[in-house]
Amino acid sequence: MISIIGGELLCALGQGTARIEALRTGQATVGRMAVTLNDRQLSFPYYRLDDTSRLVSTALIDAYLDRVVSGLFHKLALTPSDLGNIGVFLGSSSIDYSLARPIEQAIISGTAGHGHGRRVGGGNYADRLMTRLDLQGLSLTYNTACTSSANALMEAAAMLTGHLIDHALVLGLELFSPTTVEGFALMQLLSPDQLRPFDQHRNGMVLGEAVSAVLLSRHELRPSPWHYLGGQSSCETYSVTGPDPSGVGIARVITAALAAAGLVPGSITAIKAHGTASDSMDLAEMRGMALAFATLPPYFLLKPYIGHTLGGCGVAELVLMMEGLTAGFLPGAPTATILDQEFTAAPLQQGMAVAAGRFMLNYFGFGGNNTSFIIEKSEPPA
Amino acid sequence: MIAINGLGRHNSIPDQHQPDLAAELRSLSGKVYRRTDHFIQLAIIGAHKAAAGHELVPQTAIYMTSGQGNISVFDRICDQRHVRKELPRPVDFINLLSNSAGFYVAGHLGLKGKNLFVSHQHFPVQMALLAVQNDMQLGREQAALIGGVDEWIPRQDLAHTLLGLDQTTVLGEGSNWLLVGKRGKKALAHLAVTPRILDLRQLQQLLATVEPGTSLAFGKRLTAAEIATIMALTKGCPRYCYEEACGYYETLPLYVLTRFLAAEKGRLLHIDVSEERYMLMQVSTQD
Amino acid sequence: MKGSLDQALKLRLKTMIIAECEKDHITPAEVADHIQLFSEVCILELDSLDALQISVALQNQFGVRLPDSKAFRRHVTTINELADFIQPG
Repeated sequence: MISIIGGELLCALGQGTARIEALRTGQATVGRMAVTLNDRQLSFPYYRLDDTSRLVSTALIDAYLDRVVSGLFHKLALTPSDLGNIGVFLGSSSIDYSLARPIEQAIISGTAGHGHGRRVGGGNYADRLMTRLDLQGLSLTYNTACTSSANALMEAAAMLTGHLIDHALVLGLELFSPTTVEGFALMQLLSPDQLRPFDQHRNGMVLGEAVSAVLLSRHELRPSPWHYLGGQSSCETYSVTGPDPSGVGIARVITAALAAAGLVPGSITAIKAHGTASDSMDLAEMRGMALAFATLPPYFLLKPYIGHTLGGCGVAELVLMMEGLTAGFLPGAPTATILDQEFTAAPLQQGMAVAAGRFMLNYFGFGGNNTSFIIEKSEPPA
Repeated sequence: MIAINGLGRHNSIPDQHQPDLAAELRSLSGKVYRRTDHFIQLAIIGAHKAAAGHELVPQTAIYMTSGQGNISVFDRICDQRHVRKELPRPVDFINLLSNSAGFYVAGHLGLKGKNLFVSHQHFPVQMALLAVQNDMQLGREQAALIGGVDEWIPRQDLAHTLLGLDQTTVLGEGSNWLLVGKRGKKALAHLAVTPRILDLRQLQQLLATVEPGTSLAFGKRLTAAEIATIMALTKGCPRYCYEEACGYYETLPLYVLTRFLAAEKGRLLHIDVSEERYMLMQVSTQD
Repeated sequence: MKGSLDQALKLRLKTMIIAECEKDHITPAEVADHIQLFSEVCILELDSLDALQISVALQNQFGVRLPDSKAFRRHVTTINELADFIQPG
């Protein structure tokens, strides 16, 4: 059995008890982000982590990863070196920015740029973190768009099950990048005003930043109510920008995730929906859930609190869900005021008291990647 | 240990220009996909060759790895933003995501299984193979395509900088794939990756147990002196030389395996190094 | 001259659309001036991503400002209309 020992998250919803209260009362703070397309100035709502100037640099990324990892280990009163054979798994849709910076510099300066004699590439951030933590074990970095850190978590679980490692540090990383926001703006996927997943008048995504970490273990490192039960990752090739609107690909991954966890649909307490508020993605998700579940369990949304944190959302939304459940509730989000006519059920509008259960977390993205996994929270001791 | 059932090898040392892979893909498979670029076409070519002649089950997983992914698309987007002051093409923005290549590979081969793009600073191939090996052993996957894809870019000074190599190193490009499954009698060969990163002492201990007659291949980052030291430790194992046939790229270890298995019989131990740490993998043919 | 009467402009537009959407098997002559570009009867068989590609190319190559590709699909339905939009005459 794989336990989740603890999690930590940096996001737009603040920290500690303030974050729990915001989650409980359904209040999120959304800022705005300006982008320039050609000479056109555009502005979109955006969930910023803090007000630090956002020129994404290696040093800045390193600092956020250090903050989230040290926060996690501090909370657990552990140090990474206490744990023998630990692997590091990082998911981000922006792993390539270690490349983008030198390429940008080279183009702007007209020279070959500076690589400091060290290779840059996808595994950079995980490797630098391991060096700082003095870890030498296995590591992989995943870039599968919006399912990146969800896949990192599932693959870490597989390495634990296969006894290749005893513990796994799984990280989700997504920080503001002008290229990303410009690209989404260019593709007209961003809402100009508000995130309204599953609403009839939904008009696009609102992006956000999150850096998050969970510690998984195949040992009962300490009593934890959280366990990873299983999941599935699959792809569909309907469109490079998302799932088949019929929902068949989503239903397939949900059904396979249930089978991998040895569960029947009726045993799911609630579903953390992906809910991007993209017109076609929400449609595919609703249809997919309806196909997979004869009776749809309650489903809830976390993006209205932290935005769509792209490759980082797999771990970030897991940590946020765990925090809510630890405080005894699943968050509601008053976003879908007018449910899409075609939809059968609305997401939770208000918080719901839940002490324990089995929770399905779903993530879908560009490249036709679909990921679904199931987490259990056991009953607190009487 | 997992079975290797298919090999796909594409390797070249381009000169001045990226080769026209659309033409090659058309002659190979009769199909060229809209919205694909050099990197994606490179990926499809290698995967197509590895799958050729096999009936793949739709659940066959894809694990793709690369040193640096689709560098050209970054180059194009940066050039558009900073030099030409134009809007990036939407298709280029989509292809910035490395897993776009996996999407087109899956589409080309009709696959619906897991489709991952993974990377590692030092050992992208070995770490990806380790994940595949683990999935096979756990029964999570029954079959998988694993590919290493790295492209050559005309801006060679930049390419050397990104790789942290001196400007004289000859660079190449490749897309090398294995179709793997569970152990089987019909397999071309079997593969085993040592499931940890070794220091020099651990490497020496393992080398002492290498079976006589095993061929040894070395990653291109090993120095001649390191190779000589290791050869001396294995007491007469022959060296398998491939270096002349290829320029440097990060996923070369998959080229080495596919090249050996296409032409040779016996066992090959591949030894790779990065920053004084080592990873090993071994392939052995059936007889 | 009104765009829809400017054969050279229309050829440029067709060539650009064919290139941007990678429909190389179609020649500009095969694209009719009066057929709706995003309809099923159009030989180009374009989708929403093509609309985006074309609207970005129009901005980059012709300096045309289009609010978004949905508006583009609504207002600029044929080659003739597109040519008139760019060159009202």
